[in-house]
Amino acid sequence: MTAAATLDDVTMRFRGQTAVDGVTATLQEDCITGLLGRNGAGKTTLMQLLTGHRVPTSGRVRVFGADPYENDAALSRICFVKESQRYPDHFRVCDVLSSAAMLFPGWDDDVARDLVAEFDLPRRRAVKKLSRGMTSMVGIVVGLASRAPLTFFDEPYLGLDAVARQQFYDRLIADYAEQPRTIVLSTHLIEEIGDLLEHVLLIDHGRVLLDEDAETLRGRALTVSGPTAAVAGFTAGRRVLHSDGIGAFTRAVVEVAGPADHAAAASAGLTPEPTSLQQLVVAMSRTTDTLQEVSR
Amino acid sequence: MNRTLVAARLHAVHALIALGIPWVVVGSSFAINLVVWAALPADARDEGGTGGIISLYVTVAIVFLQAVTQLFPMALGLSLSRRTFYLGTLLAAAVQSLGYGVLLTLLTLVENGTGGWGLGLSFWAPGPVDVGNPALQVLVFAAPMFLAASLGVGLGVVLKRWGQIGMWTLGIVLLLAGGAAVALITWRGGWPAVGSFFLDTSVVALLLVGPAVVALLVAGASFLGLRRAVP
Repeated sequence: MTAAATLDDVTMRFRGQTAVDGVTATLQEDCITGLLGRNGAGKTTLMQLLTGHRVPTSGRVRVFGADPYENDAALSRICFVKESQRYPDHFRVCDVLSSAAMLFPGWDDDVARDLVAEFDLPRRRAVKKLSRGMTSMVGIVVGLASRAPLTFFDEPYLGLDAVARQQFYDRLIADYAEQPRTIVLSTHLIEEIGDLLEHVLLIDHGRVLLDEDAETLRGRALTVSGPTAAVAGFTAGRRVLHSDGIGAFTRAVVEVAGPADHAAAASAGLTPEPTSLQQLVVAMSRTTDTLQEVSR
Repeated sequence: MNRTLVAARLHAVHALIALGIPWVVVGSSFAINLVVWAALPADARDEGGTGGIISLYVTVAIVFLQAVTQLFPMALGLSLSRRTFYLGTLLAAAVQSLGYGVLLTLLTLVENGTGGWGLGLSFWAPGPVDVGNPALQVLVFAAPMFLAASLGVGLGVVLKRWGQIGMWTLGIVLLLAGGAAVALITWRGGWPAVGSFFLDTSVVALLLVGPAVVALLVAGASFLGLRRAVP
């Protein structure tokens, strides 16, 4: 696999705050990557760096082999859809779409038309007058119809109802199958997109916590529950990502090597369950919080 | 080059609003002037005309200020580089200035041909602004228009990059600089010299060369500010 974009020891500091702290990562070409992390983890800043909206304090950002900052050749292959996108007050839905059509070389008008119909978007209404959810839909239409080789969706569906979100996932998968490209999806609704992701980049406090393909990740952690003593016996020598105790009963998320560990847990009298991506992300993000509190 | 043209076209998207608003404003001003002129007795009408046309220039400045605060974030969201957006903006400003200059010149010709709309009103080219040569007249209208656009862009960049604090700082600095200039001129007894400068300098230099030079300086400075602005 080749890289669509790379970050090489990238740091972004604002006044008194480090938003991105020495991140080195690669976005594989033709792959759906989930960019996950808590609020303020640095997800948006990372995407701003990858789209040339910001210049890193130090380190190197490369998109299709070139620095994206003020680089029209690289930028014309990137689409960045963000929740906070601002549109001019007088722009109607059709104005946004016709502007996007002029700027994205791969723009597919059929996709745009289909989506506008599917979402029931009023073409001639000012974007400013749309509801929060409908404004998000405009961004989604631009993101999918742009067919940009590298497309970022930053919390693309604020205010969208469950039906519209499912429509988005379905269209994303269908469109991706038809024309593979690199897609980066940043969201808090991990449970919903867990099955979509092929790769996961988890960041926390500006640092990379996880950079792995989703398949490996799903087998990486195991949730075990049972009597506290038995759980303690099983977790000894293994890395515990998270544990909750209620009386004599404990439930722990443990890093495991493979199926053999499932059997070991079962034979120790514990109930092993697969750990969902969401549980894993929550467990790992909490672990770093605890570590940081200890180091303070 | 292609993308620069597209960036320029973004300024005319939904043209009815984007290009229409300044003309609605100056049109209202014109209508009010006509009514007032019609109501006044003939000997009370000011032959020098009115300053109503200024409203067109102020509105153009506001339109270009909003081009930076509103259109710039969308343009970068649609993957334009800052440089391309900026060149497109300057191109749009230049084309608009010339186009509006032609329109204003035509209105001036009609005004002069109809004896000031039958009322002796000199609205479109008041006093010395009327240079009597259509080709030159277009430029005399266009250069200050381009200046208005570039000042609007400049203020927009300050607002986008440095926010409210930037605007206040700029306002205070300009106020202090203006105050210091006034104090200096008064102290040196220089007001007669200032007055004769404006009287002696030709209209072409005041309305064409001067604005063009200032506009280019402002445009250059604005780009430096925009280079690191985050959409």
